[in-house]
Amino acid sequence: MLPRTVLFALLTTSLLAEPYFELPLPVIVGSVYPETHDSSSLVSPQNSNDDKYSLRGSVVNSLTGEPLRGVLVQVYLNGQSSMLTGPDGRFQFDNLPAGQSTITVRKPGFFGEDDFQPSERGQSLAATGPNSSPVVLKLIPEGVIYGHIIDDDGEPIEGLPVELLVQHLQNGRKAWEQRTGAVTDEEGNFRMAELPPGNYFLSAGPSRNPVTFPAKLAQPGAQGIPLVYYPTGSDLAAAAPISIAPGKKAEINFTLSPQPLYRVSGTISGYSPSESVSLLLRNSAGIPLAYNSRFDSARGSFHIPWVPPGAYTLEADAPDGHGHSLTAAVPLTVNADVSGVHVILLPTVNIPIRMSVITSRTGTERFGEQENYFPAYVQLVARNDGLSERRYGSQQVVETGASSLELQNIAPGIYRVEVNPTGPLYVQSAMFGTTNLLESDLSVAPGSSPQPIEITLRDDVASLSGTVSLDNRPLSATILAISEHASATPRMQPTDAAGGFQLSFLSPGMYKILAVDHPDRLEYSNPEILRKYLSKAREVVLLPDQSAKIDLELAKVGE
Amino acid sequence: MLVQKLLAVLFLMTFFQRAPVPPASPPAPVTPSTFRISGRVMDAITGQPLARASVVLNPSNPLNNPNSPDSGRVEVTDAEGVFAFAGVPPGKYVLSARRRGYIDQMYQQHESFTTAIIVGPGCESENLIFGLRAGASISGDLVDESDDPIRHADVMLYHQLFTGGKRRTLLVRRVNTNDEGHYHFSALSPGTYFVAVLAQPWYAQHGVRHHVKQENQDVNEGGLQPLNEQNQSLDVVYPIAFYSNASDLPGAAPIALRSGDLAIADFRMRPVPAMHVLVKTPATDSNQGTGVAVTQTVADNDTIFLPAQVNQLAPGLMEVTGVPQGRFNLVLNTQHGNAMTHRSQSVQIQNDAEVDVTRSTSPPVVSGVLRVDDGSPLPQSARVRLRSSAAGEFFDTAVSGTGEFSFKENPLEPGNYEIMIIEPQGLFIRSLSSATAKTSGRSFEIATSHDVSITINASKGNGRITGVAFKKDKPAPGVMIVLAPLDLKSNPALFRRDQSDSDGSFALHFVVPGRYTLLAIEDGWDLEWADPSVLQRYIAGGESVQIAPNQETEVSVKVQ
Repeated sequence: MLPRTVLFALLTTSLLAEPYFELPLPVIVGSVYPETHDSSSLVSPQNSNDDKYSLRGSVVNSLTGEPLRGVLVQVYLNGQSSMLTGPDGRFQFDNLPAGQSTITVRKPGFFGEDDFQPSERGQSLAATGPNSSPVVLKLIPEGVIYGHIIDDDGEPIEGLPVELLVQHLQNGRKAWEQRTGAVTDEEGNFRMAELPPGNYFLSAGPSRNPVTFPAKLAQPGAQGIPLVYYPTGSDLAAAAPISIAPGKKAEINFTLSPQPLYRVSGTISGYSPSESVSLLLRNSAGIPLAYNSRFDSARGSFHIPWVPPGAYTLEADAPDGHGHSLTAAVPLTVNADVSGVHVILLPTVNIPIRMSVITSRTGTERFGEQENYFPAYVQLVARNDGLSERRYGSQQVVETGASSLELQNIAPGIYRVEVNPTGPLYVQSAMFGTTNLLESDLSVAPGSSPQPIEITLRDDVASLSGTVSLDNRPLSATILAISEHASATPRMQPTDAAGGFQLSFLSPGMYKILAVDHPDRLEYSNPEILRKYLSKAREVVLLPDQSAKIDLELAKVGE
Repeated sequence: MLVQKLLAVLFLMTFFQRAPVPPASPPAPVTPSTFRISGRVMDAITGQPLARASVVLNPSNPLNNPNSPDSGRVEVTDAEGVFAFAGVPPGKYVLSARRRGYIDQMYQQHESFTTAIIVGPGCESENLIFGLRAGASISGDLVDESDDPIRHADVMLYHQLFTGGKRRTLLVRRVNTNDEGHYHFSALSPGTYFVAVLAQPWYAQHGVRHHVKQENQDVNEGGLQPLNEQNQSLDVVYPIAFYSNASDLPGAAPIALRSGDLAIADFRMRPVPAMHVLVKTPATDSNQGTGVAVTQTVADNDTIFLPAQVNQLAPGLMEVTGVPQGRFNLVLNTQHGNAMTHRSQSVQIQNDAEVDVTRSTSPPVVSGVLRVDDGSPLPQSARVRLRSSAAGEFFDTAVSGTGEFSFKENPLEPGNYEIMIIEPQGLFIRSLSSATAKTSGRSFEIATSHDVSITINASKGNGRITGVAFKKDKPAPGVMIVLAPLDLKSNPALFRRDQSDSDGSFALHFVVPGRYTLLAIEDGWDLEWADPSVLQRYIAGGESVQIAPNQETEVSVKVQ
């Protein structure tokens, strides 16, 4: 996928300027390019006197190349015009003024290229004018995953939740995201459509209610379906992806064995009697499971019925009645009824943040002094491999008239600390006691005393500029600036159309600078993955206040 | 007995606690301290035994106590459909069963009544025949005018139900079509159904049709583009469609389902031009907001919001589009601070029509006061209900501690309305009085567009009737018990009903003091009992009872 700026430049130039026609044009899905085999049908003005032109083209299925009928084509040029393509997939807008127009194409069951970028919808640019040529637009057919689920007696399993997960890269790190879900019908069938191409992981279960599976229910001891990742396991890391190419309809059939369901019970202490306690079981992948739990606040006892065997973390949360929260996390292995689990709720921790700014330039003093202004924003990111990254952001607190930042209600655990300056500053140091948070994770112990995070920011920032090229031809790309500090998130910035870039407000130090075509496909926070690309990277050492200049060669992701 | 909890709760309750393990080896007692409940689950139509059915046993008492759901046991039927609960202490139990492909049901369920099983010395609780009805289904495919599937369409299922002794057609389920335009309603009870579809052409482009010139400038808020020629063929909507080929419920084809039937109802949607209507709304000040919506009343309990597009052309002037030509309700929502008022008026939607809702007379508002004759205060939960005699539509509103209530959220059409006290249950209406409306019994008449003020005179001290239904001197389980007021016509709120339990016993709660006829009718569950002419012929065979405030009466009644 090309970054937007490339597409822009490419289309603009290729449609307007003759010489660029010689460039080998990539086939761009969902976008416009000249229909060279049909140059005789080049559009001429309807009426040259008032300079009105037509825009003609067709829409095809990106997979089969077949023309697509009934596609909604919309042109935005001094207003909006819309029409549906005819049986031959063609469209023609008349009476358009000369200029650049944006075209969007839509049809149920298809994606435009930019549908995969949530902020935009399949749209492209085309030119209308005396020499404009017909355009061909492509739509990508959706994928579908469907199938049915039976138990080992061949009886369909009704009412079982089925979900699709995708693994994507977020800041160069792998993260799980839940995409869509369904519930099996009375015949055990499920169906999930409107899937963009990609790799999907399918989970089925857990059954919410053992009654759904009467054949397996007997006294004593109910049975039910645990959470299973396709094809068989309870471990997400060992699950097999279902690869969905454009237009693919994948049939996934399961036979699932009901397993004994167990009861987890015990006591909770440390809660405020007037407040409710919420209980949650997470599986080993950190995914919260929808099991009913019951808590008797008068007796302090809880139980969770119908838990399939497995390894879990039992999490309890409750307000303390004074505006703060209490929390507990107990690891559990369930392979029989578990009783006598003791959950001790402990106060969460509030961590104050102290920030200082060392200024050397004129004009930046204000970043250290302004009232109610904080030179940086701090986030804690929970270290887990679970579905969603849990983040805790710093909050403003006002005490005796002075305001400061604080991280509130932080549960004991290990966190990555992200410090994002809000001005032209960089983080020189971030310390928690003797822990250097630029290099190490923050470990919050249960009931620990409120020790502050001390952050020092400076304004003697460095900057870096340059140009990206491939085979001596400049081209647009995305720059990654990877700091020597282990915990720092790499800086990512697209170049302009001519490959030029400018990275500002960099912290002095050593960087590996890399230009890539598809940063969204590169797990750049993983040193193992990144190593393969380092031969194309440039290493620079930036001094305070330095403006450095380097040229880079494009590294193609996946090659 | 009457079970007020949802059936789903009965199934769920079972699992909050393991079943008590029966005593390991009880010393052979002379009179057993525990009993058995046993029987066979069968297909109610074919008589075929049903294996793999879950039968759930719940004590009847905890049902009225929401805080103790820790009860319930479950057994699964064997290949012969047989189930048995051993070690059951004496008491009254509700039995329910579910099986894939069948409708969840309580034992001998009729509406929300069941025959409870009485367990104890001399009680018959074994060899029960538990008939389950196979679920029927309706499914179908939706295509558009090009025969492409319509995905994400709203499909509504209406059931011609027999509730409150009257036939009514109610919305019972709503699903969306999938990517293949397919929908499916499963586990349906036998009966008469209607299917309707609300969908929009996915390609529809409405735009705005009208332009407003103000101070020589085009007012075009929100960057709206005027329609051009090409867009007009896309300025279309699908009117609500009823199976098959009808535009409303009266014209719809009923789908009659028997147990296990699989009916198909396919739709091909045809686009019609979308109308563009100008709506003048009242000028608002800065802390007010005005919104316009279009609704269509489809069935007794169902008003559907049409996917209308509303564009403000200028302050106080909106263009409403995305609706077909026809008569619809235009709803004006006005927000004043945190309060929201809704006003609805029926309008004819057609192109370029101008609807002025600024000066339309507001429909009458019913308000009043609830007075308890001993002057006691009302609980916070106090609620009263208005029920329109014509449509059966009802509206609830809260009553303040001092008795005031107002239906200002529910503007009413002229007609006859009945008032009921929903909460507290121990309170009954003795009479209504009003200076602004004609009252009769518990009903009143809205004749004009003037607001109506009603005083409800209420008393505490509902009575209770328990008893046993006998057939040829033997207790009769499963019969319909009806307590009918002497005047069958004007007081539907006075009727009480129950179903006799396995020992023939029944209980009628919250009986308003007065004179009644108590009836026990075998196979009475299909009777249109709210129709006086239907019930009249049973009156002579009933027992006459007089209930005084707070009185508990025991009555035996012969089954007819």
